[in-house]
Amino acid sequence: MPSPLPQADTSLGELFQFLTEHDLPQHPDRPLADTGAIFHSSQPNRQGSISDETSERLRLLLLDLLAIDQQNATDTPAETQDELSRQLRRLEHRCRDPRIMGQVIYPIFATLLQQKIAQSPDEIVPALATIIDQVLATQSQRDRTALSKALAAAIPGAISKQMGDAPHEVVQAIAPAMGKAITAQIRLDRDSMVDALYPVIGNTISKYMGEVVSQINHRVEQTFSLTGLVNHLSLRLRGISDAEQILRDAMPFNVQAVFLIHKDSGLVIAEVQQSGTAALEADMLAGMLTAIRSFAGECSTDPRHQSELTQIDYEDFQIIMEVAGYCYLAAVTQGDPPAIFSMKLRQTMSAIILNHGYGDAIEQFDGNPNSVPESIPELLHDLLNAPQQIERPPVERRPLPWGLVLTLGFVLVAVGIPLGVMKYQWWQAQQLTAQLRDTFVSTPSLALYRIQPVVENQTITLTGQVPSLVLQQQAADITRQLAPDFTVDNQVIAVDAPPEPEAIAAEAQRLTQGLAQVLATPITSTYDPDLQQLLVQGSALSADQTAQLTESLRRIPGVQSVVLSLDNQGSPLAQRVYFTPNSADISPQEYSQKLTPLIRYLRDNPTVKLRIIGHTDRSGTEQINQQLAPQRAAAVQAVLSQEGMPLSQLETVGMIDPPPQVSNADALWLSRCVRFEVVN
Amino acid sequence: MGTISKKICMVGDFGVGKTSLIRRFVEREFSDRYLSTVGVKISRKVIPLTPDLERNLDTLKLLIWDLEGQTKFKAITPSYLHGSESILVVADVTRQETIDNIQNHIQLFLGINPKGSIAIALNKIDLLDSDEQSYLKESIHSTFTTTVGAYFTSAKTGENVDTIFNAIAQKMVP
Repeated sequence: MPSPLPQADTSLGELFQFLTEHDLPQHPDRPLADTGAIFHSSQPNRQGSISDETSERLRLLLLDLLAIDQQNATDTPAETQDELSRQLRRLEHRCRDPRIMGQVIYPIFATLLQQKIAQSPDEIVPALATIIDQVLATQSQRDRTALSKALAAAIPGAISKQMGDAPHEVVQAIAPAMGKAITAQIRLDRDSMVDALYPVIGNTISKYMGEVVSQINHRVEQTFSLTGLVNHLSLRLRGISDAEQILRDAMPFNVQAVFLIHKDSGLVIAEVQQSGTAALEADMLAGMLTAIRSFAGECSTDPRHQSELTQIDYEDFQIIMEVAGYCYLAAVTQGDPPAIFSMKLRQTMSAIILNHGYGDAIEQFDGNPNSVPESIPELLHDLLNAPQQIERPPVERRPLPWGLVLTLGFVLVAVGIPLGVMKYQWWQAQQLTAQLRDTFVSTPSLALYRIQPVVENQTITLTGQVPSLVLQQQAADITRQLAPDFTVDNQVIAVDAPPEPEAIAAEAQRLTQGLAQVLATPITSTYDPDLQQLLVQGSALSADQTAQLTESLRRIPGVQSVVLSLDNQGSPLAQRVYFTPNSADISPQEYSQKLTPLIRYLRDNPTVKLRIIGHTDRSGTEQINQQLAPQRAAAVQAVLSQEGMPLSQLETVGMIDPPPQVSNADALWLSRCVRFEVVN
Repeated sequence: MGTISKKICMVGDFGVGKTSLIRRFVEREFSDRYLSTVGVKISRKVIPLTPDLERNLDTLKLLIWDLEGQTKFKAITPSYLHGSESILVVADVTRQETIDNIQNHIQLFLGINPKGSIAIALNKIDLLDSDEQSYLKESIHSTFTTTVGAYFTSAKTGENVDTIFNAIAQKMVP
């Protein structure tokens, strides 16, 4: 008989194997030996459904197990039973130990959770929902950055979605922060906000301005009509400029509300408001106004002189006040208040005081509106609806003031007669002018020249140009014949007719040649008849020679201007010899470039007398410069003298001023030089 | 039926709870943040009256002027008190000097409006325990002669706030 324990093991193993293979079909290739099974010989149906055969086997196995239990109960020794119950307790203990259970479940926990979520998400969602907000809150406290990173990608999408689903909620949520957000952004980057808002603001302003401009246009058109001109005159008399008036009309004045307020308590005695606009909180406004008035009164610098607050200006409305003994009127207005409105306000105030001010109605006002006379709101209504209509006292029709009429008549006669005479004289002069003009045009010798007659106070002034004295005289004679009573002021100029261009050119040529001989220098001249200009070309000349030449040529009749094109740059006489600071030594370069050509020129023109002028810059003291300037001239003179120039023809001068064409603003070296002039 | 309007001024030293009493009475709110009143702030509360057919009135509009509290450096601006039929003098039960000053405030007001009615609110009573309260009530109650009365109030708990304002209203519109 086999031992019951191994038999039980065998049966248990077999059962386990059976169950496992049917419950866990996903592990079909697990080796059967691992399970400790004995029946590994044949399992034809183990992948399929449980067949009758297997059912039968299961039944037998269970029966075996029951038999073992019975045998154990009767046959096994007590130790075995103790051992078994110990094992059972240990297992039980293990099952309850969270650490061990945790170790057991740990590797498969994620799989379990995934399986659970896949199988029945509905059960998981409520379980997690209760803590999800706490999870987020905790994580945001613990590591805000990580949470932000995790949520960042989803948030824009979430907002867009919500904007689509419930835009109102999103707007409600964001709206309170909008102002602050814009302020913060402006602080961070003003330019980008300007760029962003520019199109909107620009349009808004231009729309508003467009309306104002069209109103102004309308006004301008009106201004040039007859009524407009009359209005304009009346405005001028009142000292209001057109621009002011046009602007006033473009932003019309209106009264929004009028309050009669008890001066001490600030309680509203009566109020009227424009219908259609948002009603003002009369009590609060009146209270605050009264408080402000009290405050302003307290702060008044001069206690002897109590001054009243009369106007509070806001950007787009004003509160204009008219104060009396126990009450004051406050009008809330828009637009520029015209002067007439304050008159109207005063008039209304007077009416209120005269009718009610000294009774109990106002002075003893106790906050009961029923005690206010009904005529007061009527007066206020008038102020509201017709703020610019003043009740003028009826004017008595008085008899015509004859004295005034006579004086006016006399003035009219006194002014009118001389005016008429002047008008007639003016007309006569016009006639005469036209007649003279016609005559000049129809006279053949004068027809070509435009002679202008001007008739003024018995004098005829003639202006214009004619080519000869004869024609000048003729114009005067014609005038005298036509208007023998007038004095003739003949300002017609007799201009000599210009000679023929060829003659001018020949004369210029002749004179140029003569001058060339005198100055001993080659000069040619060309005459431009269109410009009446003489162009002179040649080599360099001294300043005196140039002046002489120009003056002579200008005298040729028909020459308006002389243009000199003299080759000064190339001339050795025009060169300047430059020096190093505080030195009168001539450098080899200056010698070879400037003095050598000069020596050559002087040899060719032995009669030329030179003035050698030495200059200094302004850097040294005057005393040193006074010595240095002539030393530089003398150095050049010595060189020229050595080269055979007679000393009698070489005059030296020293100057501490800068040379011509050099100013103190120029570089210093330009002043450290020696220059030459031809002495005639 | 019409509404009668009345001006009433709150006076007292700085920080005694004038603004808080108004907030409790008008807005039904309390905040223990201290905000100093600058100048004057005006609040409005409409109280229903028992209809008065003779005068055709059924509501009272209280315009409550909350004046800047008096400090050592700045007295109450008297011109604000003009036209006020009654005042509510407020003192802080935890600061004796504010209680001492009550009489000065009353004198200032009576100088301007000799016929005016005066109520006294001994405020912040919630800060005292019951023993201190009863001691204070005994010691103070007989000190002041007022036309409306002195009340222990708390803007925080709302104790006696409506009572004192209603008492004033009753006095002004009998």
